[in-house]
Amino acid sequence: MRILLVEDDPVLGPQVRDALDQAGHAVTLIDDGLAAGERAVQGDFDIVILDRMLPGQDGVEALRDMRRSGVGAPVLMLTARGAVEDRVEGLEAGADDYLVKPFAIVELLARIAALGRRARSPDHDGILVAGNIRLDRTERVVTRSGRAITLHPREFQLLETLMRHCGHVVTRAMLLKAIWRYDFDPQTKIVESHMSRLRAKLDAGFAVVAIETVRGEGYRIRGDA
Amino acid sequence: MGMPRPRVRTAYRVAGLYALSFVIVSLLVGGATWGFASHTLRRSLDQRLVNELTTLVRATAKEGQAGLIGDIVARDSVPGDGGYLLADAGGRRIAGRVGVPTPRPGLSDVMMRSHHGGVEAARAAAVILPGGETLAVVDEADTLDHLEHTLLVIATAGFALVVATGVLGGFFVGRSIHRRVQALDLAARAIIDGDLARRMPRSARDDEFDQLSDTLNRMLDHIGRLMDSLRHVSTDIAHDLRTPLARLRATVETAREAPAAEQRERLDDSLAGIDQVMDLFTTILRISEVERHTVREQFREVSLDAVVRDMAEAYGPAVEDSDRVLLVDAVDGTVLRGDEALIIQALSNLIENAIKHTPPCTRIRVTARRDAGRAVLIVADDGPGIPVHQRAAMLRRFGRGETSRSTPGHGLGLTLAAVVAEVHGAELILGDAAPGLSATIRFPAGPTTGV
Repeated sequence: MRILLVEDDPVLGPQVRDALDQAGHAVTLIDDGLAAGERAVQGDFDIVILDRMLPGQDGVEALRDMRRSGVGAPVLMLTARGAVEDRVEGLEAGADDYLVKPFAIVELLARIAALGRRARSPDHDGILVAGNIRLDRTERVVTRSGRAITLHPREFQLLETLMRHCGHVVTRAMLLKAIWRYDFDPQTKIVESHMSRLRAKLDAGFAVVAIETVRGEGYRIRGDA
Repeated sequence: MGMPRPRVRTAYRVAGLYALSFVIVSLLVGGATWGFASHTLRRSLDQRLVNELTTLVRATAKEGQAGLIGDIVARDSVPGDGGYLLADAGGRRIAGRVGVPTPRPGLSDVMMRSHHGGVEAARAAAVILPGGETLAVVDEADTLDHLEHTLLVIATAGFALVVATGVLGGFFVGRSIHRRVQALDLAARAIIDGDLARRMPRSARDDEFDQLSDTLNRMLDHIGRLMDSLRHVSTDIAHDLRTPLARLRATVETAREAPAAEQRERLDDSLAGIDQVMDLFTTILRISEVERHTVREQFREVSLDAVVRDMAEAYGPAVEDSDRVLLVDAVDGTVLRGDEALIIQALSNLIENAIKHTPPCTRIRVTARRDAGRAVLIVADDGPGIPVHQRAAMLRRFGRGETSRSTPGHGLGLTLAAVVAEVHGAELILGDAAPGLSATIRFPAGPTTGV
């Protein structure tokens, strides 16, 4: 994907750029808020990563400018502060997601991938398929190889979120936010416990494990399960 | 310490101004009373003289000059200071005993020879009769002057008394106020100079000054607690950071020399260590963010029972996996005004605290109910509990029971929960669940069900 990275930190900026480069993205790095709007309009970017605190112009202001100039690309805000008000302000200005610094690069990659998919794929007809697993959102029915699997509502949501990002890693933080709307990181293994129950139900009687754990990153449902 | 003191002390100035206004007001009131009394007395004397003169003139018209002379003689025989005078056009006395020169017509002040030889002030009313004679009625004005004098003396004495009372009273009130303000000032200066244990003086009178002292002392206590906790936080942060940072340093150092296969594992350990430190900072920032109280502007109605049910649902499997039991007791319609995200965070910390510090098989009960119009949140376990003397320290930043220092976690969970309670106008109270620990947040009376 073509990514516009607006980050003024002289160490973090190049590091993130290199990491995104390695992940196969084409990254343009700029360090000034005033220039950000202009570049976003000129270049045809798939995703904009915007730091909240920027010289020249505040990240939120830069974002408003972009949206006013008709930039439709998804925007991921990076905020150093964890303040609730800042997040709300960013989302209201038109950000699609936010990440609080410091963040893990894998988390950033997962969010970018998710935003990219969201931008490209419009909503399905309510049916998600991953390998032999089929999830019907309207009927709230899950089957694997035609065999019905009874899931708890939260397990259903977990599976749905993973299937939306089929073949890609979904991080714990993404799941906490998507399913429980938690902005903090619980010390308890909430996600892991729900996930182990979902897996037990999903894999009962099957030789192939449907959901993989990607160590240090998150979970991924296999497209060929 | 070089703060300039005002030259004219406010207390004395106020007292002086009061005394001055006393003086002015009593001058005005005294003067008006004296003037009015004197005016009234003179008018009544003049009235009497004019009435008598009119009577005599009427009698003359009926009975002629002979009758008038008879009248005058008869009246003069009554003892008294005043008298009558009938003089012809040339000023020669025709009748009457009173010793005055012929007065001019109308009312006038005259000098009268008194019967004991002296001269005294008198008032005369005179008229020119048709025959050219002057008829005058005279009465002494000395009594009047005397009365006026007495009035003046009384007024002056009263005035002096008022002034003295005002000035003395003002002085004493001023001095008393000045002294008490000075005592407060002295205490404040001592505190500025570093005597932080010093408190504002208090008398037995329990008046406004004592109430002010009480308020200031409460403020000083509060500041003292804040400074205390600041001191603790600085030392505790330093302490809690040194350990993970030392480990981190060692890990990174050995990773440099480690064989390539091991390096990745060491680096992962380092990352985990950094995350732990970052987590600590995030929580510290979160606490000070909540303490700023700006979140209050975003308060809306929160359904505590729904929050508790959702949390129990989220934590249920994890609690089960840790071999503990989570029980829920949520009463419908337990609502309050607050910040849902913060309450969720606080409740999550309380539940995690209960999981972390209890042995397996512990039952953890989360309750949301209304009690006398107030929403109440309780997280209780039947674990070992916390000794009474350690409970206050638990709520302090980094305050952890000494026995649990080695377990993971930064020890700020309960502090954050307490701060969340405080921003909602409530208090986090640690109690005995007999057996075990109970953490209770009793929210202030909020909206009633269905609002």
